Amino acid sequence: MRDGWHQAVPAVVAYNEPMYSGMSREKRTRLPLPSHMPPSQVPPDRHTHTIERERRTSSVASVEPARQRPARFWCINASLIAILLSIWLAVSLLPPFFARDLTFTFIGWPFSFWMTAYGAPLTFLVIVAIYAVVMNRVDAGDPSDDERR
Amino acid sequence: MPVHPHEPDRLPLRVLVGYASFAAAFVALIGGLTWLEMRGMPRQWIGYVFLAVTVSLYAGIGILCRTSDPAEYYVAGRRVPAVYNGMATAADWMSVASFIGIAGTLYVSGYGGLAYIVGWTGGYVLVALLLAPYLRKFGQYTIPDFLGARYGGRGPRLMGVLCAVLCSFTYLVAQIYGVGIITSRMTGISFELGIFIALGGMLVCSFLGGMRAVTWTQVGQYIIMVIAYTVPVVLLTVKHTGQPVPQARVGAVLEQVVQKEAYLLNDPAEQQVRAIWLARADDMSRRLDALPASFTLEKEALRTRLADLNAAQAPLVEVRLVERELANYPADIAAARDAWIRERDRCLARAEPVVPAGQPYPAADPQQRDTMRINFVALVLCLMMGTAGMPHILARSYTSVSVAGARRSVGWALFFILLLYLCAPALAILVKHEIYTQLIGLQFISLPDWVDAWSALDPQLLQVTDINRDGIVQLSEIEMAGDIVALAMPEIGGLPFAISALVAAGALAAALSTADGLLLTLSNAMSHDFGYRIASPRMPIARRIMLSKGLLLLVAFTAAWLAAGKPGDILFMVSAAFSFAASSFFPALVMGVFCKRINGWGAIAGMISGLLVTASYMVFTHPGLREWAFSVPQSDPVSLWWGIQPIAAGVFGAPVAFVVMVAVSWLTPRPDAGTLALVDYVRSAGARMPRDIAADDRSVTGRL
Repeated sequence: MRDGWHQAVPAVVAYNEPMYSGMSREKRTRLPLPSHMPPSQVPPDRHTHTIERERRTSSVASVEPARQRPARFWCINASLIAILLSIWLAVSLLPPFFARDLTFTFIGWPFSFWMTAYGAPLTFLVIVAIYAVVMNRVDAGDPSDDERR
Repeated sequence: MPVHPHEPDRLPLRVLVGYASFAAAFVALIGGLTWLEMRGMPRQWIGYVFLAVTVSLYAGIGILCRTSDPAEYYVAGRRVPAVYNGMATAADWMSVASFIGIAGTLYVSGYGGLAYIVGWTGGYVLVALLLAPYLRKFGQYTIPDFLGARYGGRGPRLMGVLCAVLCSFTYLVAQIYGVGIITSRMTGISFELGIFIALGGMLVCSFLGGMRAVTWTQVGQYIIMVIAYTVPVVLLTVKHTGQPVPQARVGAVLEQVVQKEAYLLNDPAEQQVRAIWLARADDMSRRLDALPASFTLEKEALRTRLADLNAAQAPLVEVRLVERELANYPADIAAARDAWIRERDRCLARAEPVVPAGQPYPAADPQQRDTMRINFVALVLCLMMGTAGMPHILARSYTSVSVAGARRSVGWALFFILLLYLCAPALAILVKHEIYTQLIGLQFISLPDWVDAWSALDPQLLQVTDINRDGIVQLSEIEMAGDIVALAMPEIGGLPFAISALVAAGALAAALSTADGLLLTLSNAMSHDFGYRIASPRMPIARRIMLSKGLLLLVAFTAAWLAAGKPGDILFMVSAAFSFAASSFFPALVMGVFCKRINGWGAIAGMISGLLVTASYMVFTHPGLREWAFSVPQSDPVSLWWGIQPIAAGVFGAPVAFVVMVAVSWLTPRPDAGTLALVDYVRSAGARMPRDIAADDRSVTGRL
């Protein structure tokens, strides 16, 4: 299935070949994907077609390694998201829920008002910043990075 | 493979210097105009200068950034550095509702208005953690693109196009309506001409340069917005506390406001005014009970009163008042019923004591307090999910340089949004303080100029009438719409008119930047996803761009035409957009990334059922919509679920969408290997951007 002329030419060229222009859309999308290209090298404009074509030819063999590689990265990502989202939910819902009981003064403001007006939004900013910093660091150090393979 | 030597996340210093000198020039312009104003420059001219400078600036950036390359036109070439992308997102995000509405809502409803601040900022946590990095990794042009690729086939993509139109179009109409209001207030030109001029400048920008021009314009618009919002608040804070940091100092002002409110609650004159309002409401109820007989009786009574006044040679003002009332008398019994219900509700609202500035859920009845609390929480959740589902914000993740850049740019966006949002509570409290100390207790003869100016513009915005005829202003005699709090704040605080024009220019920037982003989202969804991907997949690139640009103009003019008709209840339509986004895009996108088992059938069924639940809850519980749909009179009581108002209908739609997605997907075949590969791909590491985009990067970056 992976033999043929498309193996030698980049996807963009292959897709714009004159021989394609006469074909129906159905026939075109049934053509196999140039499998030697990792997804990141497929130009963004062609990516959907890549996926659609891959879906139809359904070559599980080429998919398998990609599925195992990001496991560690995804675990870190998912657990970080879980932790940060629980903080997010607590900060956005608990102060409004108990607002009438939190009546003490905090740096010159009524605490319930300060927490909803300033505390919660600033916490959101911290959450987003932590996520960006941590994940970008994990991302940069991840051996499964397509680009440096 | 060696890492690409060019680091695209840094723009040339030239851009930074350019924007810095732009900000400096803008501040100098404000200073110069203030000086000229003191030298006697007419106020209208200041407005003209601000309108001309800002609109020609937007058009100029559009001409500089003109392009017909698809990657440039749709996603700004994917080379916007995180800081600038954050600024552009912030400008995209902050609409008239943020710039004017938040401070107004905080002024009118006190603690309850904070739901908007928490909801609209908390949504960015969802964007940053659940959506932006994966959409950037996917790296296409529009949000329906992701739905089409992830769920396969035309159905999900078409659903995406429909949702994008549903969420964005009413929002766009509201922005253009805001543009008309602001330009006519700023310069005195007519509403339609204001729309025409401002929209013209904006269309030059987005038509010529697409997302690229819009992005760089939005950076400029953000700079204008942040100056326009913070400068007056800081000036007012200095005036009242002697210190420039509103977030640290206004707490003391809030204390004074709370004390004044406690005093006003028991002030005999205030109680007298409130009693008069209550009596008027009772009178309206009496009339309503006596319908249809009261229809002719009241008209007769008015005529007799007019005759009596004329006979007694009463002052002309009073005669005119009765004459106007007679001229506006409802035409038939049904109209009379509606008008009197409205009048009764208005009087009842005026008879209520003022909503406390800082107290959460102010109600005497514990059950009512619980209803307020559940509404607050529901609105927060609905706005958060809606924010994370707004297609024009999500499309911004495509424009950043890399996945890492997308993560950072959401952080910057939230930072830039907070610069404004954290000033809003202080602004509302300072205006309240000004009103309580400067206006209340004043003689009616010596009302300040801004009261006349704003009530002449539209009595619905501001009305101060001597209800109890004691010649002194009481709080309950001031009817002030929240919308003018931000715009009139410089005048209320006694700042020069140049600052007022500056605030108007900021509001105009807010409206135009959001309208630009929405216009692109709408026209791209229709041209790229419907016209190209669904209807004619073999369309050449040049034709696709032409189609996008044509649709852009068409959408803009349709929206302008609708806005010129001054549709009613536009605020509800805007908040409805958030509910729709929360119950369609948000579940479909999040599940698309985080749950591999969801297939196309599940996604379509989930989005449709989410939208149906949201829409039907709104139609059954919003009196205006219900009257339009089933012609049930507005006065009939509505039955709410747990007392939750229709504005937060998305809290019901979103869970339904999630549940239906999971259920339908489990009943239908699992997604194929290609789809699983796509999900693995968007989940995988790889913050660096793909090579082929980096390759042509330097040449175009150099041009900006």
